[in-house]
Amino acid sequence: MSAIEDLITELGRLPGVGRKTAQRLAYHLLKTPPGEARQLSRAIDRVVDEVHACSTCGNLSDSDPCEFCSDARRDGAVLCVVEEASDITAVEKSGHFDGVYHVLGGRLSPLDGMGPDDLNITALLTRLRGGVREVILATNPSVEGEATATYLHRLLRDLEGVRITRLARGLPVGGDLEYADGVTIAEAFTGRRDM
Amino acid sequence: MPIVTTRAVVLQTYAYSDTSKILRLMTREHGPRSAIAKGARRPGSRFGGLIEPFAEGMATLYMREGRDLHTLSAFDLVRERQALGRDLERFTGASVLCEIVMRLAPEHRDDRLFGALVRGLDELLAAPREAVEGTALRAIWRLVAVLGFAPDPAQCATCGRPLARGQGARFDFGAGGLVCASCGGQGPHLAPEEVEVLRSLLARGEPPARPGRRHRRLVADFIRYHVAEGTHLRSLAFLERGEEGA
Ligand SMILES: [Zn+2]
Ligand SMILES: [Zn+2]
Repeated sequence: MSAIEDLITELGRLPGVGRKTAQRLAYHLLKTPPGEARQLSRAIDRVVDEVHACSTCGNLSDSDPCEFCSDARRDGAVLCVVEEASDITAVEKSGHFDGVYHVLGGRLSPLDGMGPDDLNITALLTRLRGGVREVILATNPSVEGEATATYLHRLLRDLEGVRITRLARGLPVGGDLEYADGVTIAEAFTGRRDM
Repeated sequence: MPIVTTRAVVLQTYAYSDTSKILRLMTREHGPRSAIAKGARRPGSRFGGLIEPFAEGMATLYMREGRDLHTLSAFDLVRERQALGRDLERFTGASVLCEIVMRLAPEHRDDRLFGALVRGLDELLAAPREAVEGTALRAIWRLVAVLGFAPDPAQCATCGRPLARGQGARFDFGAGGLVCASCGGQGPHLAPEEVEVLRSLLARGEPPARPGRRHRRLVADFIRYHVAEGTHLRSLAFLERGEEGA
C-alpha cells in the first residue's frame, strides 16, 4: 500500500470520518508545511506513550494515579461513576463535585455486545471495600445509561454503609453528559436521589 | 430525493461526529433503514432527547436513491419507552426484539413484522415484574413466527404426525422443531412440562410465569440455527445469561 493510501486508511478509522473526509484530510496534511504535520504526528506519539488509564479510576491521564485520585483535597469517600473519561470534564465544568471518579469505559449495550464484563466494574468493587460512603451513578440519561445504572444499583445496593444515588432528572433525556451545560449538571448533582 | 413520512421505531443509535447520531430505524413503510440525525447530540436540538432506542414516532426522511444512509429531518414522538432501561430483563428483551428486526427484517414494508415489534415492546413495558421473562420470550417467538420460522409444537417437525399431549419430546434444531420418538432426531430433550411451556410461549394466551434458562437458550439457539443463518446477533448472549448475568 502506498504511503498516502496508508494514511487515508488510518484516518478513515477515526470515528465520524468517512473515506472522502479521510482523503481530504490526507491531502490537506500533504499541503501543510512539514513542520506542522510533524507536530501532529508527535502529539499522537506522545498521547500513545504517555497517556494511560489510571489504575485506580480508569480516567485517561499522563500520571498514575491520575490528577483526581492523587488530589488530597478531594473527598475519596464519594465516588462519581461515569461512562467515559470525557464525561469527567463535563462534571468538573459544573464546579459542583469534589469527590473522585470511576470510569466504566462504556455502557451496557446488548446490540454492541457490551456486557458487564466489558466494563471497569471489578476495579469499582475493589474500591468499594474501603471507606466509600456514597456512589453517585452519573451514567448518561439515555436508555443504555439508565440500564447501566440499574445494573450497578442491583450489584451495589446491599453494600453496608454505602449510599447509592443517581443524578436527578433535568439532564436532557437521551442526551450526553458530555454536552450538558455546567449549570444543568450542578443541578443534577444537588438533586441526586437515592436509588 | 423523495421525502417520506413514516411511522418508525428507533432500534439503535450511535454517536457520529461531535453533534450527530446515526439511527437504525424500523419504518412501517420501508422496512429497516439507517438515517443520520444531524445535530441530535447537541443539547436543545430540534430532535430533543427523543430519538432513543425503543422510541416510536413519525419520522420524516430524505431518502436517497441507492444510498444506505438517509437523512432524518424530523421525528415526532408518538411513544417513548425509556422505562425499558430501568429493568434489565425488559431492556434485554427489547434489545433482542430490536436486533432481530434490525438484522433480519426484509428490506420492504412488512406490517405484521412492524406490528409484532411494537406489540412486543409495549407488552414488555406493561408486564408485571414476575411476567417479564415469559412476555419477552413470547414476543421473541412471535417475531420469529412472523419471519416465517416458528416451530409448530403440535406436530413432529420430521414426519408431521401429531405429538401426544403430556409427553416429552426432543427439540431438533435441524428439523426445526419438536420431533416424535420414532423419528429420533438430535437436540435437547424437553420434559412434558417443558413442552407445555413451549406450547404456551408459542400460543396466544397468557405467557407462562417463569420459563427459565432452558427456554431462553432454546429460543436463542433456534434463532442462531434457523433464522440468523450466520448473522451474529449479539444480544442473544444477554438473553441466555438472563437476570443473574446482566
Ligand atoms: Zn484516577
Ligand atoms: Zn416424527
